[in-house]
Amino acid sequence: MESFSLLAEGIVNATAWHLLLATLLGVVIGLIVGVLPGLGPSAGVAIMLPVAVGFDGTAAIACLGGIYYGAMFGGSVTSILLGIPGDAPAVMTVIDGHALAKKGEAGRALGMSVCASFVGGVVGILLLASLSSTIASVALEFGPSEMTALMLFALSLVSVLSGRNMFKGFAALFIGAWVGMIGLDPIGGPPRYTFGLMELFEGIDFTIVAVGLFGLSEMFISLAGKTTGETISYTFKSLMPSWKDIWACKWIFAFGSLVGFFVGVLPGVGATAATMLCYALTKKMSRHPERFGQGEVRGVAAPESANNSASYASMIPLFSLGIPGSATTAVLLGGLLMVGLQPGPLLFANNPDFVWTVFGTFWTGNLMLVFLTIALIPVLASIIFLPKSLLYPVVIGIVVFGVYSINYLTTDVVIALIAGVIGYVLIKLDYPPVPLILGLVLGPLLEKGIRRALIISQGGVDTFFNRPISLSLMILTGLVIFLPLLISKAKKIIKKDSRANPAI
Amino acid sequence: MVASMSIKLLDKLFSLLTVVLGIYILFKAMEYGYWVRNAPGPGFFPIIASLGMIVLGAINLLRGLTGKEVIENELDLKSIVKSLMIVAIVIAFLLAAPYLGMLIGSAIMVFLIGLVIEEGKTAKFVVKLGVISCIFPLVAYFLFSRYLNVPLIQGIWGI
Repeated sequence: MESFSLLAEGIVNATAWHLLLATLLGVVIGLIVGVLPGLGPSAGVAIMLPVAVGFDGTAAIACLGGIYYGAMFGGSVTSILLGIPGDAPAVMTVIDGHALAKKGEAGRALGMSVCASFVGGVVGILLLASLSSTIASVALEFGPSEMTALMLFALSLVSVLSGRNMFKGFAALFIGAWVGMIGLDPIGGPPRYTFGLMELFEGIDFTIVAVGLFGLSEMFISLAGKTTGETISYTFKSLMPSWKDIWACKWIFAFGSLVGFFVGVLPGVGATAATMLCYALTKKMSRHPERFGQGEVRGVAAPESANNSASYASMIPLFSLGIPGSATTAVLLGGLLMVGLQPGPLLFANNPDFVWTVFGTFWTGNLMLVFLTIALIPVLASIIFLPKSLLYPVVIGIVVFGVYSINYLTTDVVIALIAGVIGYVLIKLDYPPVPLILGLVLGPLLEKGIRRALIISQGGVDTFFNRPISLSLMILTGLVIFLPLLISKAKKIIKKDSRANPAI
Repeated sequence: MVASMSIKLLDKLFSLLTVVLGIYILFKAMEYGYWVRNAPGPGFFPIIASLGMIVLGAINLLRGLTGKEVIENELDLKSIVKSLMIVAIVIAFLLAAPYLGMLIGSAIMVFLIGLVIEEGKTAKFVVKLGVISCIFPLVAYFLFSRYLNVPLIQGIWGI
């Protein structure tokens, strides 16, 4: 209860003019950065760092934090409207968000995204305020064994995301996992599958592949349809969100926020893995899983609430322990040090006003984003009604510049193009692209986890089963894989018995 | 019918390619080392990925050959040709960037992509596209070069 009163005080302090302006600047920049394909929040925070540290300490962190969670809001815009993930955590929003936009319901999807992001943000801030120290100490218990178990659990859900053909789904998963292995070996160091190219030594950036696989391929496929300059008429109402949908998804918001928070708090896991896990679990638990991928609003609500909640959760290791859990929080750590603050256990004790005021700016920033994006929804949603022959050249141009901006390499643009062509082929041949992305993101995490765990235990596999968190996750994984098979088998036996003996 | 046969052939080819790629990955993985100092080496996970690709690629190939695999999509020549043209335009832009510069090159790229996509090219459309092609480099300059400090490739004219 004390935490909530401190948070309330922090929110009041955050309404000072200079803090409101700094937060507004941060969220607007974050929105823009999030919308641009290829650029993520870490780029936005890094770019603004030299400017923000010229402000006073609290304003600087308010601005930089605003960029982080603002980018989460912005990333969903291009995911929904154009099928291009604005940043890595927005990949799962593409699946159902863009499907809704193609049906002419972009406003519905954007409105759902705004609501889910807002609720995810609120839950994330409340949990951040109340559980920082407790969660931080538990997060430290999460070692390589636990990471391995969590990744295995996430990958066990790939069967849910494989669509019609499970063989093709798993083939895509292994292809994605291999692509994730390109580059320097994370433990030993030798280059793997780089074909002698220096540019591949650091591996292939997931965002580049995602932009090509989802965004460019989608545009290529849609070229089969009409591309003449006709204008499609639409109503204002169709561009606005549906309150009925928002109310229907209230439990999804809560579930997504919690999953996003507790997965996002783990250092090294991040919001992307959190959104993938959340989407897969939501689909698995749904009464109509077949609707996912065809424009199901729950498929937008789940990942959006997860990614916003995860963005606040990732602040916990940073503020409480001084450990950055992601690239963005690593840059934020730099920001904190530049304004003269040492994150860690003593930050709450020595600078309580600073900490709670910054948390208060997260609250005001979250509110600002809701109003900004709702005001922009009709304008944004109408973009998809522009003729393809005028819209696509601009979008492709922005994708080219955005991808180039990641590492300043033209080879990255070529990789995105190749991913676009491969994505086109995969979609035509019924290979689901989501397991490929899952393999690309989670495969390297799984590899690092297993290898580190076995190095520490000197080859002993019992390390995955004699630690409580790891064991619980392994049991859960086993249940996810084998329980549906057992239930299906039992149903067949019962059906067989009832046919043989109608009296039952 | 031709499109349907083509997609079935492409499916089988893709499955075969998956198997071949898996075999390549497997052989390279052996060179990296499977087990090093009581722990999985750099080749351990590539071996697992390659075995997965080989087995599943073979299953998909078999399903294609026995007719069990039903693909409802069809290959569309129009979208393939347009897509390849767009890819070629972007690659040409990347190659020309050191000479023209990214900004001037992007204006040409946007214009050409628009022409490729549009089927009924009217004068009104060409004018609209021309205007967008001229505005795009300005927006790209302010957004990427000035605001985001991205060092864009400059051409022989220093732009």
